[in-house]
Amino acid sequence: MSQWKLIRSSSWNQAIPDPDPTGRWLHLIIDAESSANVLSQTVLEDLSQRLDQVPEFAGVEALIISSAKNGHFIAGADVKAIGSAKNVDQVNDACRSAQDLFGRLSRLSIPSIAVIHGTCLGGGLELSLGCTARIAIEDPRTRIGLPEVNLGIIPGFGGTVRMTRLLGLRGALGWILPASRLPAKVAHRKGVVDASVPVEGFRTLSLQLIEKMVADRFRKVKAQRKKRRKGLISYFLDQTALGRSIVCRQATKSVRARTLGHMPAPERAIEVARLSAHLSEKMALVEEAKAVSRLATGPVCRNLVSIFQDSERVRRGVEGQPEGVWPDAKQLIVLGAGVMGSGVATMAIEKSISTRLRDISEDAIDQGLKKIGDAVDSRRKKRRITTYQQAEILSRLSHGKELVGLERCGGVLEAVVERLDVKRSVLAEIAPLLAKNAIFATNTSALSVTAIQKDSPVADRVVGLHFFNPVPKMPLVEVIPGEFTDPQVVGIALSLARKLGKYPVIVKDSPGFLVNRLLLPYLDAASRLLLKGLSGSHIDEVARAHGLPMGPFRLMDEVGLDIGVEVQETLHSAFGDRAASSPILLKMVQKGWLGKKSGIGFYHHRGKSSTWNRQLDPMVQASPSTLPPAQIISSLLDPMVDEAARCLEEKVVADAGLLDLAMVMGTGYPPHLGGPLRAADAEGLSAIEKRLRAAHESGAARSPCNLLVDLASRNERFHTHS
Amino acid sequence: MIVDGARTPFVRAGEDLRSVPVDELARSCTRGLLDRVPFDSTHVDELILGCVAQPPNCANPARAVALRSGLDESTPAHTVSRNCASGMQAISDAYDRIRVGASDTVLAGGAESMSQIPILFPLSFGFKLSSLSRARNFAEKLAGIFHFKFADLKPRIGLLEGLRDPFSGEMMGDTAERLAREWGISRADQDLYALESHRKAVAAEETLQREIIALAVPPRLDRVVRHDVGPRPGAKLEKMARMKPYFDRKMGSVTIANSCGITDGAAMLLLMESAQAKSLGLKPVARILGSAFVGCDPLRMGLGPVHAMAALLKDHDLELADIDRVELNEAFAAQVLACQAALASDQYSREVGFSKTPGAIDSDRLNVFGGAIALGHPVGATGARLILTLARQLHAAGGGHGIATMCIGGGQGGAVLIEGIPS
Repeated sequence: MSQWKLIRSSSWNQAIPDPDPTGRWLHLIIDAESSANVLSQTVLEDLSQRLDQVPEFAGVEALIISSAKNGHFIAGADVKAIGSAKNVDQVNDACRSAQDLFGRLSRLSIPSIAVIHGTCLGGGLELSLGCTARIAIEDPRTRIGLPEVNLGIIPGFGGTVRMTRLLGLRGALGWILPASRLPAKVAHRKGVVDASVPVEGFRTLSLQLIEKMVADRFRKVKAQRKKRRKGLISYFLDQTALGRSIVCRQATKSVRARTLGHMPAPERAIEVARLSAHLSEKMALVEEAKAVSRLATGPVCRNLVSIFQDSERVRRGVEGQPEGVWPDAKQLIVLGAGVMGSGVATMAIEKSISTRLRDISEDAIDQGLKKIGDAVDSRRKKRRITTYQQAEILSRLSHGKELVGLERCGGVLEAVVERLDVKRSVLAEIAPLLAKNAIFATNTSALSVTAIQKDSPVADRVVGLHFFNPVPKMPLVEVIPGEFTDPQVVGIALSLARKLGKYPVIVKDSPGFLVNRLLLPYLDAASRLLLKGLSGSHIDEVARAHGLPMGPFRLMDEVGLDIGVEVQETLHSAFGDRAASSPILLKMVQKGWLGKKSGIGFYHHRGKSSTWNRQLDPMVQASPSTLPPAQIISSLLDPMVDEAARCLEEKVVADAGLLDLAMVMGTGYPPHLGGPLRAADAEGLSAIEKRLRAAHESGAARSPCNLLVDLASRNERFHTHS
Repeated sequence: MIVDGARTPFVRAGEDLRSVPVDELARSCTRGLLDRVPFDSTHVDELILGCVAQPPNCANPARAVALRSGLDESTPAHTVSRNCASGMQAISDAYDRIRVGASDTVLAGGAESMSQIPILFPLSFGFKLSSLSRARNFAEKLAGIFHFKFADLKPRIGLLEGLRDPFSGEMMGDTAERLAREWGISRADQDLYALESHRKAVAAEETLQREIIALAVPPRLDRVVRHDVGPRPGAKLEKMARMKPYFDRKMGSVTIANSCGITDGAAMLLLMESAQAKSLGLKPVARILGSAFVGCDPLRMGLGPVHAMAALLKDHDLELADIDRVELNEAFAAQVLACQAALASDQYSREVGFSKTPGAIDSDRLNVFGGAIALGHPVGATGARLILTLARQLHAAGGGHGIATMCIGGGQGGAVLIEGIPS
């Protein structure tokens, strides 16, 4: 089956137009065999053959490129191929030939116009950039962008070069660096497409536009593009070497501030874009392909692609997971208007779920509503939503002390105080009223779901749904089926989490679930280093430099030390000495130092600034000492790797990929390292095992677990195929 | 059947609810009502909203309420106006729609944001603006600009214009003054009546609170309004007596204290055909038996309730003595007292159609939870509030008949007869 269709026609009123041997238009229509239009090797080869046939059609006036799939143009290059790229020369050749193929679109005897309806990302946009002109359809599904840097590469099918030549250096970097996906109108305003057309009857409208463009030989389109780049400042910054170096220096600075130098792709993108601004297109394309081939075969790209693939797996549904659908028309009732409850309610109303916020205290409701109102209002201030949309979002919310609506809701999300007796009494109160198919999701970070649901008449409908704070920012949700949970309920919970825009990972009902259980050894290791006399703020800096979003002590202050102690005690009683609580934390909590919320913890918090809490020093008996950064990092992360291996052993989570994803999405573990297990694989397990063993021999309670010892002895990895 | 109802808190215009548009007032209590009643909102066949000052940017606020409170897109909605009785009109219309079988379930009520009634420019300003926009060259433009006079910018306060009788140009308060003069109602009696209204409302606070759905003020939801602000526990007769008459400064007796407050608020009721309510397993609080609207002298619009009650009772072969509770809207204390006097007058009651003199209504049957003097009078909403309060008190009292009635600016009276259903 062919991936592209070439049809000569005189009209355009359906996806595949009626052929007409005397028609004025030549339609090149992509309809890949796969469910998404992906620019795989076969699709590109087929495109090349089609382009060879174009000269056979004498008398046609333009080549119109579109997709036969409704609301989906081209999703981009083949991610799997990028992730498995090994050979630099192979990648280079592939990029060169794609660059040349897309370049041919503008060198045909007739002009080529891409009509973009739906997703047009990465390679899809690069193909369009090769065309003479582009038209975008104003459909909410139309998203145009170059997300390559998110995968650790740069646009390599000519996108970096052609974007720079179209928009100038600043314009191109504005598309490539943020990797954003923009709707049709914005793309038009920013000059990437030459026109945007309303979706109703877009084929007729586009054809009219194309007719006009062809008639005036694209003079108007070209004039428009020129006008956008007029002006003295524009000339200076884009056309002079000095201006370009200023732009690049600024861009590099802001990229470094964000990535701390861990991500090579944005910096390469800046270099290639700068070269494309003054080199000839041909030479610039060579540089682009060179840069991509080096990036694509590097570890960062491999890790980012793996994380991306795992996240897609989770978003679409991991094979063998229970299925279920959250009922769209039904209400979600959130119990508890605290930080978590109001956070989930915010997500729900933004994602079109009618929500009722209920709390037993009016004060709590007031606070919760204020948080929701502020969160939605800040989106309006950032112009993400209009005032009309804001009113619509808020109208989905109702609130009150009364426990009403249970008999026809889709589900209840309980986010009350983290105490077993409270949670059980809430469940008991709700059980007789709960609608027949509604789920009862409990947001707990440490309590056992089985203990909560036990003996309840609706035990089968109780499921754990562990959100992370701050809810709108943290993409992970741990879904925890208890012993008595119906698989279908798990399916509905997964569907609800996805509807809320989250990535749900199923985790076994065991103490600390997954993320907290893995975080704790890391935090504990940090306080042990502190007790050995190391400087706490230095440990935080080293962790930051390693790519972690926050050092361990800052993280504890953020979460709250009292919560830390609580989780620690749960884990200590479950796992024994290796999870023993660090004495310093307990002492601090006794003093009322709870972290950010009390203004003092490991740091003094004043407004936005914070300084290390000097009063801690007397608590540390050891004399000040230092360790090289690499050693600090390994003492922090080794226990986490061991605990992660134990989680795999105990089947807390289905596979290593999901574990890594959960840590990236739930704690901000640096994605360029690919998650704790991939990072461990890269370092070599035997080194880690040796260090842990040495630590154990010198007095640490933790000894490396069987799986780790086993894999290390056989020189194997957690991730079998990568 | 009245299944249930709810309202927003009633808050003086210009205070906490001033930034809340009228459709949001009604939406908030509609959503609260829908949450409260255990039935699927897809059963709602239509929504009718009474509103006097329909906002310029939302020509049919009822539709906005329907869409925003989560009703299905296919549910139609319209807005009605009968000046002060718009909310009562909406419920009366809903009752008729159900009676003729056009609808089984209707959400009906009223809403008013008196804070958001616009300030208007004189029309001359608009005319000059449009001729300026047609100017073709600089000279014409300049000439157009010089045509403007300061008088063109003199604002007209929409709220005051709305409270003016369009036929005589008198303010509503002037019509109350006329009744006070004609029926010999003293300033002291008016103040005493007003004080009583506050006393009753304060005493009934807990009961009234159960009607109320708290409203979080959009867009930031940083304030949650939960209580009526009108009733004053500390109202004092001496203080009231010191107030200057507002409408007739020299000779008058009507003051701000013995008139209803200018207020923002909304009230919504869920009405259902009785078989429908039964099949959904709902327990209605009251049944509507009928309604009547009658015209009267615009300059004596305050007596409207007497006319309307006469017609309504006649329709149902009832005497006023058969009615257990009456909610008579308190536009002005003078106007309520004039109605009482008219009911007690042989001559006047005969003129409006009573076959025998009904006599004044005892105070333990009239406005037992206080009235608009204490709570305020968001014009579009009050009719619905009266019926809501009446239905719930009859339901609590275990049944009986009740009339909600009100005077209507422009010279009309409206009345609705309901029967309580014991729980």
